[in-house]
Amino acid sequence: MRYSFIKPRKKYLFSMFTKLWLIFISFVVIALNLFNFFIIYKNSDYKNSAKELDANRAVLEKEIEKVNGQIGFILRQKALAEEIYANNIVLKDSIKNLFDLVPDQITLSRVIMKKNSLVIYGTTPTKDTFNFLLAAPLKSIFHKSNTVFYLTKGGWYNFVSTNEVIDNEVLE
Amino acid sequence: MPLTKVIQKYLSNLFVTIVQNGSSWTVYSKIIKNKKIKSKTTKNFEITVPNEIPQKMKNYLEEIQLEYNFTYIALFLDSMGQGAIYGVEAEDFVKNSVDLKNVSHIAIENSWSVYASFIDINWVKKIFSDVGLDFIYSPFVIQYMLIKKDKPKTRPTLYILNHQDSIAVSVFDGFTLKFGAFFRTTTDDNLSSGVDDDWENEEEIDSVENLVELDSIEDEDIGGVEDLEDLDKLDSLEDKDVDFEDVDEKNKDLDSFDDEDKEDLELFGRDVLVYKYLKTSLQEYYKNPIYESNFLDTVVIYDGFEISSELIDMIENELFMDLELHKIDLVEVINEVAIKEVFK
Repeated sequence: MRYSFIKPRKKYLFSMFTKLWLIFISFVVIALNLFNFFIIYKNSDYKNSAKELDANRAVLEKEIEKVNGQIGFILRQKALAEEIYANNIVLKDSIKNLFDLVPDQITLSRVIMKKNSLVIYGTTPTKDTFNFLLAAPLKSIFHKSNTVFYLTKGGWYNFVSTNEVIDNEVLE
Repeated sequence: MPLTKVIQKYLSNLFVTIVQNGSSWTVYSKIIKNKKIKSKTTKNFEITVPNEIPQKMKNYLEEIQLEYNFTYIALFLDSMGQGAIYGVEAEDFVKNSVDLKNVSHIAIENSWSVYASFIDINWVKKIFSDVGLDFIYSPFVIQYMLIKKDKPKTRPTLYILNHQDSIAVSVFDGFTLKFGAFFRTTTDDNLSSGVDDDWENEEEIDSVENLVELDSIEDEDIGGVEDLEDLDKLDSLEDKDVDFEDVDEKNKDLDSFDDEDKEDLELFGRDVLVYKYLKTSLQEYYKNPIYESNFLDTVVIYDGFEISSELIDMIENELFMDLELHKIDLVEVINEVAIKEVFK
């Protein structure tokens, strides 16, 4: 019930000054919180991308290993190719040398060339021709040299010369 | 809004009561927190310029309002332009010759109303415009609250609220006001010029200003007024006799008036005036047909000032009424009303 002739003035829980302070403080709190959330978000964002990059790095590392393996394989292939090429040159040279070694009187029918051995099939007019003209240089090249002669109908000889180099490396 | 009220209970609430006592303001403040009284202060401020609050009081009120957010300032209205009537409808106001357009009124117990003129309310509002006011209380409301606190009488009873500058005379039946009259015991002239006023003249001025109802009596019932005047003459004769004897005796003893005597005399003069107002009110209540005049045999005085034994004798011996005297602390009572109004 109302007893007074007038209504009381409005009362406020906080004065104007306090209100201003509260608004300011709450504004600052909100702003700082927003900034905080922004930082938290950015932080997790960076963490995620770091994880992704880590995974990426692992994949790339694997790939690098693979590529390195490939490079090794290719290098080995290259070395092999070069070796073969060098061998071929050596072979070519030795074949050329061999053929240069063979005198005009002797005819070769077959040559089997192995790494440490040489087997020559051919025809010679006389044993001495072979022995002097071909056997001598062969003997100087190979460690072991052995020749077998067969008499043909025409009075010539077919021969089989087996020459061997004793491999030092194998011996050792 | 209700949430604020709940919080407010647990904060310090300052209730200030302002009452004008003669030539000074009494400012009573009470701090209440969670229904407990934290502190009480009473301050008096001398009125230097009429119709203005002293600068010191203004500063004090502004200071305490800055200190406490919830400050309620309640003022006791003791200006002439107010009263109380039985009934709450517009026609009741018309019946009591009160112009509804010019008064602010409150219905109480849905059966009676207190009113005060807009001029008076705006006047006090203007005086307190710098410090602000929350409540303006009619003396009848204070009386009603006091009756509510006591045990209500079973029969219609005459109640007087005695304040230094005014009295409120009313008839209550239970909690319902049947008749109300308000009188000032001092005039503004009296405040400045002192004691030597002519009581007779003063009474006349007050009555004319005051009781609209008296005029209507004169119109309707000339006999009643004559009776009344006769009685007045008789009383004043008697009063004067007593008065002079008293003074003479004291003069013999002390040769001159000292302050104490002056005060006694002043109080006695005031009580004579109060007695006259009381009788005028009774006449009005019995004679005016707008009141359902039940016989009154008890008078209850809520005394917020001083009452001489002579007045008590007069009431008991001349009006043949039983008298109950309750000493009250007016500022405290008003404070309680304000607290009740804020916290329900």
